Formats: sequence, C-alpha cells, structure tokens
Amino acid sequence: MRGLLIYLVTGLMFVSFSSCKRDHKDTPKPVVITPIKVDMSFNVNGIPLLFDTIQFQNLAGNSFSVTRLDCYISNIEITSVTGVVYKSTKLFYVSARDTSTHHFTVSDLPLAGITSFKCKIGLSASQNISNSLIPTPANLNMAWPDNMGGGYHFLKLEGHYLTSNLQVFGFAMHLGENKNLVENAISATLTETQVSGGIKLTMDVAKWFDVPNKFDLNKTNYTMGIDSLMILLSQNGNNVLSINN
Amino acid sequence: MVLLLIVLMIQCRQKESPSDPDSGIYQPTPYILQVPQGFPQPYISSDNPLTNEGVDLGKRLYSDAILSSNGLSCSSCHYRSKSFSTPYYITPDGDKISIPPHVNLVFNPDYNWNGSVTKLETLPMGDFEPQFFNTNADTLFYRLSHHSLYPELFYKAFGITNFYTLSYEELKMTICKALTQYLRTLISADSKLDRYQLKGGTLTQQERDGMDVFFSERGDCFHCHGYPLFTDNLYHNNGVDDQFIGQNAGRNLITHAASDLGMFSTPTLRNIELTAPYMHDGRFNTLEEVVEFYNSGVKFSRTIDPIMTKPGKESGLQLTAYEKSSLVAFLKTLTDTSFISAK
Repeated sequence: MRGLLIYLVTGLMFVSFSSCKRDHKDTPKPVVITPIKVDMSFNVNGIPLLFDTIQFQNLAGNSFSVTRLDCYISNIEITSVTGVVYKSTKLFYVSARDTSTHHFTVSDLPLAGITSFKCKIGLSASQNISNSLIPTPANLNMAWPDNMGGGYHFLKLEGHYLTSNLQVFGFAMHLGENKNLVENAISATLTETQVSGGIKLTMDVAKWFDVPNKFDLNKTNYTMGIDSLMILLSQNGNNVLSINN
Repeated sequence: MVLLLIVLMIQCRQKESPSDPDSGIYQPTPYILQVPQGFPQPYISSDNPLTNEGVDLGKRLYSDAILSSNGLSCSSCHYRSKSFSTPYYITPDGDKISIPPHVNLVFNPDYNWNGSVTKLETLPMGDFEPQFFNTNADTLFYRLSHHSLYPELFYKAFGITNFYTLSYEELKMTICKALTQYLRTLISADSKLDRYQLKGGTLTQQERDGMDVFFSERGDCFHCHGYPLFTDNLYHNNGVDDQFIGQNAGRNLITHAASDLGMFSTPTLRNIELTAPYMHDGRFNTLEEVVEFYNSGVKFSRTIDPIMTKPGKESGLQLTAYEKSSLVAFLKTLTDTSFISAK
C-alpha cells in the first residue's frame, strides 16, 4: 500500500512537471495589458468650473453660468515613446456635474509613456447608432431623435448668460450628427510612471465659445438643428482639451 | 440506508413547503421583474428585494382598507383606470397638488414633484397619517393578527411570526416594503406607440405628424420626455411660473439652492391622457391647455431651463393649430390599455 502511494505521488509529480514544461514550450503566456486611467476635470479659462452662478466670461464678453455639461469621450489614441500607436474603441459618458464619471479606465490601451494623446468628443459613426448603447439613464437622456439623424448627442452644454440689457437668458449648445464629431489631438510627453497615476485630461469650457469661432450668446445661444452653427461649435471643440499632469 | 431514506424524505417535504411557519422555514421566492426592451436598470432597494410573496402581499394591501380607520385604501385614490393616479390632493395648507401616477416608479431615482423622497419604501409612510388613512396603531395590529390570511402572508413575505414583536414604526415599514414591492411591478411599456416602435403597429397620419413635432426641434419635447421612459428624471423650470412662492418653489424647498427655484421633476408622459390635471399643481385640465402653455404661455425667470430659450421661440413654440392637435393626438398614443386593465 505504501509503495503504491509512493508510485502514485511520483507519477503525479512527473505529470505536473511535464505539463509545465509543455506549457512553457508550446503555450505562449498571455500579454498582460495594464490599462490606463483618465481623470477629467473642468474649468473655465483656468477657473475651476462651478455650476449655476453667472461668474464666467467668454471672449465675446458674455457673462455666463453652466448648468449642464454632458459629453462622450471616445476612441482614445495614444502614441507611445517608442512610436507605437495604440487605439481604443471604448467610449465614456462624462457629466461635469457627476464626479463619478470623471474617472475612467481605458481597458484596451496598455500602460506606457506617451508623446501624444488623441480622442473624440462624441461617438464615431459606427458607435453613433440609435439604441446601440446600454440604456442607462445617461445614455437615454443623450439620445438624438431619429428624425433628426438618430444616434446620440455628442455634447450638451447649457447654462444662463446676461444679455446685453442685463436680463438673464439661457443658452443650449448641443452637438450631434456624425459630421460634427469633434477631434482633439494633444501633444503631451508623459513617462510611464506619470501615465500610471492617471492622465489628467482637462476641458476648458470657455473654449467652446471662443476659438476659432467666437460665439456671442446674444446672437447665438442655441445650436441644435442648425447645421452651420453645429459645425462652428465642433470646430471650437478641437481645442477644448488639454493634459495637465 | 433506511435512515438515509428518512432524511431524504424530510428534505423533500421541506422543499415543497419553503415558507411554512410550522416548519420554521422562511424562504421567499425571488420575483423575476420583466424589464421591457430598451428600458434602463430598475432601482431596487437592497434591503427589500422583490419576492413573489412580497409582491402578492403588497398587491393585496394596496386595495385593502384594513390599513385605515376611515375605509380608505391606496386604490381609493390611485385609480387603475387613471394609471394609478388621482386628480389632485389639497394639502392642509391649502395647496393643490397633482398626484403623480404609480407607473414605472421602479425606474425613478427619486419621487414627488420636488424629489422629497429618495427611497420608494418611505413614500407610503405618510399615508398612515390623519389626512390619509388616519391609521390607529392598536386597531392595525389587532386586525392584521386576527385576519384569516395576513399572518401567513406576512410570514411568507418577511418571516414575521408575531406582529406584536414589532414596534408600530417597524410594522408600518414592513407594510410599506410590501406596497413598494408591488409598486415596482407596475410597469407600463405596451402603449400604441410602443407597438408602433417595436412590434409593427400603426399610427394614424396625424399621430405620426404629432410624433414629428414631439421628436424634433419643432416641439422639442424629447429633450425632457425622451423614449422610452418619457421622463429624463431630472429637474427643470419649464416656465409655468416666474414667482416661486410656497410649493411653486419646487426643488428649492428640498435643496434650498436658489438655482433650483421653480424646478420640478419631469413627469412621465406615459398614460398622460389618463392623469389630468397637469403640472405640479394641476393648473391645466386638458392636454390642449398644456400644449397651449408651451406654445404661448412660458414665463421667463432666472432659473428657466435653457432649453426653453430657443431663438424665435421666446414666446413659446409658435405651433400651428394642426401641429397642436397632432401633438395631442400623439400624446394619446402613450396610453397603455393593457396596463390599466390588467388584474
């Protein structure tokens, strides 16, 4: 009995080691991708964004507040220090009021030092299809009507401003439709250590009104459904993001 | 072997009677909530999961005057035929409040026009008060304990073997939990519009024209009343008032933030045809009046929702007569007859 036990144990050990050797020789170990984190923040001309109080100014001299800023950040692309370009297909809903949405992990990008960061504000054409996103309350509230093109809002930027005769009025800058997808390309050199602590992505809200197209809210306070204005807004959106690690 | 057989037989008997007070086993059955296609995840309290027994108990209690001293039950005011709403309620302070219907509450993060209630289980607690059920605690304990069914039903739902081991507050909360479980099952998602969207149903030309007004910049209703909930569950000042006195202060009464003056929770438009009067204080009696308000009656204030300030529409939507009647026709397609007729 004792001898049988010894033979069994020895046999099991032999099989185990053989298997390990076969694994090492025949089965490549999976590549572990440590995903990168992104931490978003919002300011207006460098001043931290606070809601509901008319306290900010744009280039046109409008005094304004922000009551809502919701958008999608998607299709992040990084260029590593070795020159390799990594592209993500993930999309993230971000609401400036909801700090839980300010921090997200891009699971299909590897941790690496970077020399550039690109992303879209909005959804790519393949993503921007009605009912394609999980019906969370946020995604449902971003829906863009089918008879206006379908898909989702890329941006909802809303607030109040002081008119030229000092009355309080509202503005609603909404962006959608595939042709108005906003691209941001940021040159940013970060080490892997810096990236591991999270890429600090900042949106300057004022830039939506300012560059290259100056929006005077007294003349233009609403964009949805007006193609010419959404184009101008999307052009301004190319400049709203920066990295501040 | 004989002993093993005996043990197996006892276990089988226990499985056949999972919640049996005599056996001491309390094992409610999870209730499988059917979430309609395209709807978001429901809000269900972790301390009050849905069970068949809890839902059944809640459904019975909803229509049972046993909870009150005045013969009233929930269904005395929340009429199924009106999507479980009641026209309005006059508060002790003399305010008129339009009562939100009990429909799709399971998808709401908070409740009441100003969001005063954040947990659905606490919503019915106020109903025991003198102005509603005027519940007498002693009578309630006695009635439930001596009822032919409730002792067993409460045991099966919540494991309660003796009502008198509970405090009055605990008993009320247990009743509220049962009612809440039932409320969470009241889901409306089979309106004429749903059948058109999902099942190949039809709308009339005027209903389709109204839908175009609703889901376009023409009417702009979709920004707050989007499909499928027909509420964004957010707070807005839609311009019904420019003075915010008393309950007209809205969300401000809860948050005390000046920016919340005049803001109210977006009501669902599902079954809206059945739930007159409209707005938080029931000021509009018909859908035509509501549409006319948005067409020409919006009042501006510092907290007016930015969506209401579209250029060229500062005085309202400026719809044609046909567009207005079409919009009303479309709103009526949100009526779910199966919801109001189900047993």
